Amino acid sequence: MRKKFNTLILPFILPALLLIVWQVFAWRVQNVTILPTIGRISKNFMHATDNFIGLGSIPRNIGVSLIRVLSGYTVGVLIAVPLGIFMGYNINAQRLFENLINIFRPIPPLAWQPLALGFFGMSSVATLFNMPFGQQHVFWGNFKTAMIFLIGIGSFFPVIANVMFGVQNVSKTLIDSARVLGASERDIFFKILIPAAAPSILNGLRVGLAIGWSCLVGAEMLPGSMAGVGYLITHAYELARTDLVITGMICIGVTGVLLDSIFKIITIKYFSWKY
Amino acid sequence: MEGKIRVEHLEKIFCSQNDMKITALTDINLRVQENEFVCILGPSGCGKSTFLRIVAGLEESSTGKVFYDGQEHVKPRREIGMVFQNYSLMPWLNVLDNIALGLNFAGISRAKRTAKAEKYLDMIGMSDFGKAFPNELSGGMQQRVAIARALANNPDVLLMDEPFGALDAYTRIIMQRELLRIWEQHKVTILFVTHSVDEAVYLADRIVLMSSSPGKIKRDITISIPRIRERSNPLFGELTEELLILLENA
Repeated sequence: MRKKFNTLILPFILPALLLIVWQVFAWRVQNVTILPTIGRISKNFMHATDNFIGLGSIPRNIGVSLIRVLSGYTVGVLIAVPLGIFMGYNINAQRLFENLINIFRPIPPLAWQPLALGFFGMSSVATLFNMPFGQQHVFWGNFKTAMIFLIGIGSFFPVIANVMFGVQNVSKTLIDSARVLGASERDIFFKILIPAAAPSILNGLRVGLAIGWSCLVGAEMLPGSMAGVGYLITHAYELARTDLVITGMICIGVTGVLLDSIFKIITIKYFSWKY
Repeated sequence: MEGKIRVEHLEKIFCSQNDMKITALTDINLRVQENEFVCILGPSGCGKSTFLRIVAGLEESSTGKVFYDGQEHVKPRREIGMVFQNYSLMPWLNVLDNIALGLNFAGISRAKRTAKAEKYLDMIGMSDFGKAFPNELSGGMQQRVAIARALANNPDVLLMDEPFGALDAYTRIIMQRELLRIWEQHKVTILFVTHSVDEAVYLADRIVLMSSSPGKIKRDITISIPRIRERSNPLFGELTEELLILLENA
């Protein structure tokens, strides 16, 4: 009985409390611009497929945002993972890159906005791949290079830090054991270092995606954005549609949790040896 | 007699951070015959582990040479296996894959190496644990697997660096008996580092006693008590006593 309470009830107490407090405040304030009621927000979700303030349905906005984040994340990861492994493996590579990376790391991705706009202007996936004008061009025009850059920067640093740490901290005994068993340098790298560092690498990928996802609103504040949950929030704010702002916030939160749970499942399935 | 392993005038000098030179080992000369069981006994910090790592080819000596079968050797090789004190199993591989690891590096097909690994799994009496992961095993079982893994590579020489040092007293005694059985069965040359006098007297044909700072060989004692040795045997007690006194002055 007690265990049931701990696992089934305990995790939901605070969220439920939040809803109650929210609703009480909303009734007392009686101002939809400051705090709309829960009913108003759930109405938005019940009509999720409606066209909201000319920006399309909720699923479409989430979809556009997801593609933006995943493309920026992919670019960040494709650079961070090999470089992180290289830096963890080779002390001189670390010496070469470390200062540069440490200087850029504390800069919040949002600070790059003006520069990103200057560098990449209005270029997008559509212009990069020289797509012919038409519906395709309009759709892929949503994915601006500057946004992908911002999200990529956000994902890059947690990924590279975790990957490097993981490779560096592979136990010396494991490497020595492999050597005395006749491992070549190649064996050590692919059969010892990479699998031993895999949990840290995965953890980096997980944190990187979370950070990339949280850069979304900032990235979608860039001009030329015509859809996406982040833009929905910014635009709804301009129209004083607080209910839509909260709807967008909930979308970001829930999608973030779902993305994270993918990593959780992979961790439990493949890396139980570590935990 | 050339011996399986021959060490000549070995010296190891470490450079500390502030450029101080520390002599860890000096003028080590040692010959180990084929199928001999030699224990290296010494106080903590006498450099016995460093010595073993040099013999394994994991570290370089500053001067002096190590010969294997009469050939000078510096890099790790399959003929010389090694068992570490603990945590040397790959945590992401199950027991069978761990035992087969050396065969994997040698490029032997999966079916063949699994079959061979199963044989060694049998030898250590753990047939039911092939699919288990190292973190599911007790310390004693992990060390059994580490020994099986080293032997699956068919080494001539087995270097053991305090392999039972992290085990509780009871498991340790069981493992010592087990190791002697395996050694008699497989006929390998064993170089075994320990700081336990009891362990050395129980296991070794010969005890090489080391003293510290700098680490050097102080005595070389042949043990003639027949196996299996009983700890209640007065000869066992006398030798242990004698070694303890020597160790105290080491």
